[in-house]
Amino acid sequence: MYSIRWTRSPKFGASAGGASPGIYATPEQLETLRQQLDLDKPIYVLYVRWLGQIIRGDFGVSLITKAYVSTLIGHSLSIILQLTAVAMVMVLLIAFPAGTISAVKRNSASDMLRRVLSLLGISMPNFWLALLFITCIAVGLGWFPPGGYVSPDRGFGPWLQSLILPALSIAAAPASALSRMVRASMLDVLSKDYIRRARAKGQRERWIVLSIRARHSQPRHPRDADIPRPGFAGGDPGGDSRHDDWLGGRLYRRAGRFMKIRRSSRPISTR
Amino acid sequence: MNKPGGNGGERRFNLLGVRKKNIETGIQDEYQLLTVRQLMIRKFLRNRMALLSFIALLIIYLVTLFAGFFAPYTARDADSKLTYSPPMAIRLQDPETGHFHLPFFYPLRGKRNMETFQLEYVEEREKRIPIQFFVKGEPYKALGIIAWDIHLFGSSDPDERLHIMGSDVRGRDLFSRIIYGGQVSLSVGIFGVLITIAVGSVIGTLSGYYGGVFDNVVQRVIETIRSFPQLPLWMALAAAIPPQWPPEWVYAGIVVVLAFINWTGLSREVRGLVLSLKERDYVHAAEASGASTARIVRKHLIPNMASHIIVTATLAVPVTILGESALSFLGIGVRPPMVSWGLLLNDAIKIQNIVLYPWTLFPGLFILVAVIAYNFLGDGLRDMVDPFSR
Repeated sequence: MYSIRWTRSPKFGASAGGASPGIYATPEQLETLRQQLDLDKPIYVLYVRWLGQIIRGDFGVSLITKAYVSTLIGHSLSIILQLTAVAMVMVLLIAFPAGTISAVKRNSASDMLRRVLSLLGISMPNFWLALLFITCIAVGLGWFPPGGYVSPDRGFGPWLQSLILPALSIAAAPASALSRMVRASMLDVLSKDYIRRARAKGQRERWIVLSIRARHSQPRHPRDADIPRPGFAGGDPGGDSRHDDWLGGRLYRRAGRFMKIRRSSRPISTR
Repeated sequence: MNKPGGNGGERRFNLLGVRKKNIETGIQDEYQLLTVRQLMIRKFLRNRMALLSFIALLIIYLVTLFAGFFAPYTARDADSKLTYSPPMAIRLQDPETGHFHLPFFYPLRGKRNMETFQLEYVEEREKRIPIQFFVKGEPYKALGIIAWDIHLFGSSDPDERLHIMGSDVRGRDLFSRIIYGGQVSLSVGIFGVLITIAVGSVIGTLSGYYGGVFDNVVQRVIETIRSFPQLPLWMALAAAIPPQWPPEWVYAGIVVVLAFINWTGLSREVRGLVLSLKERDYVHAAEASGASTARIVRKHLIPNMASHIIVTATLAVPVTILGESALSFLGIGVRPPMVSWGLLLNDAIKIQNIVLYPWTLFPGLFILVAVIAYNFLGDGLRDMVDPFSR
């Protein structure tokens, strides 16, 4: 991927060398700059040298800010990690309760509302959702800052405030998809015989639901519940289905595999 | 839930056939068995949302195909007097009498606010401009060939422009631009998926059918491609499109870039299907009776895979549409003389723009509708392919 990007970098096009000294540069100045940037060497030499630098962790110097690229990356990386962590917590906090309540109160008005919302969440381009958040919540209501990042040194409250809207716009799609999956697998489990037996035995409904949540709800195939969409982050390293491109799917599938093992002993003990 | 016996059995039987009334006795006791194809159509028609989405998509595509007719203006038709004009309300009520009035609008007049230096628009209430249907307006070429100048609706006075969704920085009608932008945004989905189908199914079939080294290499390549996060890979590839290319080439380049990731998913699915299909008895029988590989693929594999490919393709269209709009939104997708929904949203990338001119967010609504419709349609088709499931 980096190699592709490299071919478009100004170093590659020899003519772009004229950009830095300005349009009134003399031919001698241009020649010096070309030599400084090694543009007189053949492309493959440059490419191999550049690759070597990358491997040693030297990403070079930004042509625009003149700062080391590795420092620039390092700076944004910490923010991205914080943002991802907040977004992930949001996905879990939204998806599991919403999916469970929807399954328990199946076909009720609130269930329909949640299903419509989750569909919107899946289909909405998340950059557009972010823009909507900025106009409606940040500017309209003034609850959160419309942009920028506040470091946690300046207090936990402001830090969280600056991250909530961006994290929410990232979390919306995976949370919607995951809540659909939770709902589907909850419905599946709630119709099982051992649940009926537990009800007949007089177990409290709350206990049934919560204990299923903890142990039994094993996802059906992810295909049943979700709709694929492109993610702004996250790949699918070697996954066998294109349906779990997003974070939640992988997580849930892994959990599911784990639960499957535990499930195998379950029906015997309940019967 | 195909459990035999009990309720399940009866239900299944209802799904397989239609109950016919016996005319003489009046008792419903005869069943007419339906073919699988009839069952599929029945199942699809029963899914209201899928049907609705299908109709909605047909309408959207028709409108964008005949963009010149449905859009009141052309995409480049600018008016320097109405830059960033807010959406104009279409009125159906006479304000004095309160009775119904044929649709009209009040023209907007821009006035510079001398404190904020903002251009503020006020309705000129004295002037009522009727909205006409089939009005003569800007000349355009329907379908790119037939020169015409009739628009579905528009202002009856060519000097007073009607912007039902506001206008942009150069006073171009946003609604018209959205309709023209749909041509790019929606066709990217179709073309991208056509490439995906062509490449994905051929490579998937080959690697599933022949296996061996070829399969191994292809699978590793696919895994490599898929291990990259989707959007950054798209961005890197889109950035590799030379900036000096004409817009039409850039458009084609974007389509190829979008298909570059999508074909991997389809080819995996096809490979899996081929792996299971080639062990079926009828394929073995065909092999034993000396059918050529080409014939087996044509007569046995393709018909069995077609429905799966169509479903996967339908669900890949919204992904492609979202991908194109994300790239264009970031400014590395299609280039300006062309219009696309993502590119129109690029106007809203600056925070002061969305605060001052929130109507620049309208194109996102169209992306949303198209993507939802495709998702519903894909869901419906997925159920349809398996007509025996409940």
